[in-house]
Amino acid sequence: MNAVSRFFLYAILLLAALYALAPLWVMLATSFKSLDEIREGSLIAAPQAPTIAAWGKAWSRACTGVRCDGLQPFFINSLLMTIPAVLISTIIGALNGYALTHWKFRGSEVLFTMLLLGCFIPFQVVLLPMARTLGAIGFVDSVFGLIFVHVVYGLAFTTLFFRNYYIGVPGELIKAARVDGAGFFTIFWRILMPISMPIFMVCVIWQFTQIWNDFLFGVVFAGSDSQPVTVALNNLVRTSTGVKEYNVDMAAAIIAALPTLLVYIVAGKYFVRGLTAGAVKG
Amino acid sequence: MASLGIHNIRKTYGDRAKGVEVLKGINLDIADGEFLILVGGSGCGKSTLLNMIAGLETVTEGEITINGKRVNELPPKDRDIAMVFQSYALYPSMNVRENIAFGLSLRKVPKTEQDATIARVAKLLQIEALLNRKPAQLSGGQRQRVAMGRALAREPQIFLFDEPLSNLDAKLRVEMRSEIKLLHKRLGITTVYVTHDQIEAMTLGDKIAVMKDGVVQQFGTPEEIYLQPANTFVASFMGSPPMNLIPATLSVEGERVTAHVRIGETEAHSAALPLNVTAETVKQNLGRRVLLGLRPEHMCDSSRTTGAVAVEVPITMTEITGADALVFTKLGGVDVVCRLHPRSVGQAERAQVHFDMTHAVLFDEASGLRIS
Repeated sequence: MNAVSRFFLYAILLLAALYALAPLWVMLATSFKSLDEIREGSLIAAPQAPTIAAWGKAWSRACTGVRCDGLQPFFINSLLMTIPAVLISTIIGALNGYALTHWKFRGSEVLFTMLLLGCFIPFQVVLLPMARTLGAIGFVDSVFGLIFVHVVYGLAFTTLFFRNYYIGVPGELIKAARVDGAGFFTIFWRILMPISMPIFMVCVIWQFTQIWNDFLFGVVFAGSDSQPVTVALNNLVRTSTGVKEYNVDMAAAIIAALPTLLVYIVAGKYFVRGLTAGAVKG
Repeated sequence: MASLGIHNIRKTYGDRAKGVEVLKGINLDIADGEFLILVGGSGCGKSTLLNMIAGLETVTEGEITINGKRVNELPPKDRDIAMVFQSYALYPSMNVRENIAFGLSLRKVPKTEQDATIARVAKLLQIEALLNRKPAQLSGGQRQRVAMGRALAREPQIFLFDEPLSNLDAKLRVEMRSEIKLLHKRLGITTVYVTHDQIEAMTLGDKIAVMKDGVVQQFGTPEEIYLQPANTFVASFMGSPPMNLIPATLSVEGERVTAHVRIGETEAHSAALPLNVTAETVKQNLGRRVLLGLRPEHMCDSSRTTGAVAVEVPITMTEITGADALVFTKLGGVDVVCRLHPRSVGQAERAQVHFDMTHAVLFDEASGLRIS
């Protein structure tokens, strides 16, 4: 490649990176400014007198509607919803994937195809039927209802992930374990689990991002005490008492996004590896 | 220690009426301590049969017995068998010691006993130095040993091998082959061994079942299979190079039966080869073409045989393998291989070949079955 085309390549990449990072910079900079500085200074300028007052307010004092104790309670709601939902959907998905690849039964392919269809059903379609269902099983307005919805919705994806990973595991391995005397769960626990780390990471990242970032199910199915942080963020930004506090809004938005960011940083290296592992080994 | 019986076994995939039938009524019986080989090309159903003996596949019809007791409904773990797989199937997350101990610990064998067993097996297979390694750190031959060790540790009634040597290189394969033979001799455990390699079949087996399309073509000792093949498939499957099947016509003078074989491309030359059969046995085939089966080593030079019929044949090609010279010629219109001594063929275009007719077998051309 010659120098000119290389120059253009880097220029385009740089532009794209700037375009993606600029909003983040504005958010970060604004969140550390005081309201006065925001009013007077430029949007992209670095904060002259950095302060974390806005962060503190966003966390514990900002008003989300009539309630004024910041994002904190809703952040905890989100954790209470996301962690169980991620774990349950991942474990069931792993068992599904294992059964669909190594304990095939009559109709298992049809079942898998039907599960796959679940990946393509838009959330809005099921809002009303799901509301009826939650009502019937008594999970309305509670964190359990949200966990249930997210587990059901996540299963299609987690099953697909694990099925595609386990199909690369040789069938002879399972046969050998059966001859050795291991049953369904022993094989899963002792043979498959230790080699499933990459796909577990993929699944956890995927599910965590999906569930943490969900707004629609949260706003529809949560009660006022079980709202996730995404809904609370929306309320916080829309609630104003006279003056619009951009710094608090920005800090709140970053707080709401932090956990997914953290999950990516901690487990991100597995993400790419896990997504390709199944394909390469097969 | 156990005998194994396979009675009228059928296997159909899918619907019983419309599905694909891969095993069509298999009957085999081996005594305690015998080494049974299932041999055949790919897709002949040999591995399916082995999996059914192991209990990894269900039986559509028929009965499998171990020590005379029906085991059709028993899960693999209750059949007291151990199996070695083609891919070795070592548990990747466990080291060698844990791999061997896995089956023992599932059977609640006490820890001290486990350790003793592992030590004994490791010594037997010379894998003591590898006990703390993971399968990924082992070479192909070492993995093979560990897989065998895992099977041995269980002290099963029956050993099942599914093409255990086909992933090894040629030299290692020969080594492991003799090792398996020695092991069987020493331990005397009833064994079923699946292979597509006819040399493994000949060298290892007490009994061989040659399979094709889900049917046992012949079941017998290696010697019977080699010298008295039941049909042309067995004749050409076993042996390397395979048995020559030469089109011939028969004539009878009194009690003397003679096979007439056309030499080379022309009709003019023909050799008259006396056969060791009675006129009675071939009377159905008189005047019709038959196939004369002769192994390459029974078409040799004078230094290797006595009292044979000598015929001069044209040479189309010669392959020197070191110990032998494989001479290709045309008899009855088909390519035929003779195994001569390298010294007896030079640059000559013709060779004297001695036909050892005591080992000749005859096959019906249409059905392929041996005439006896």
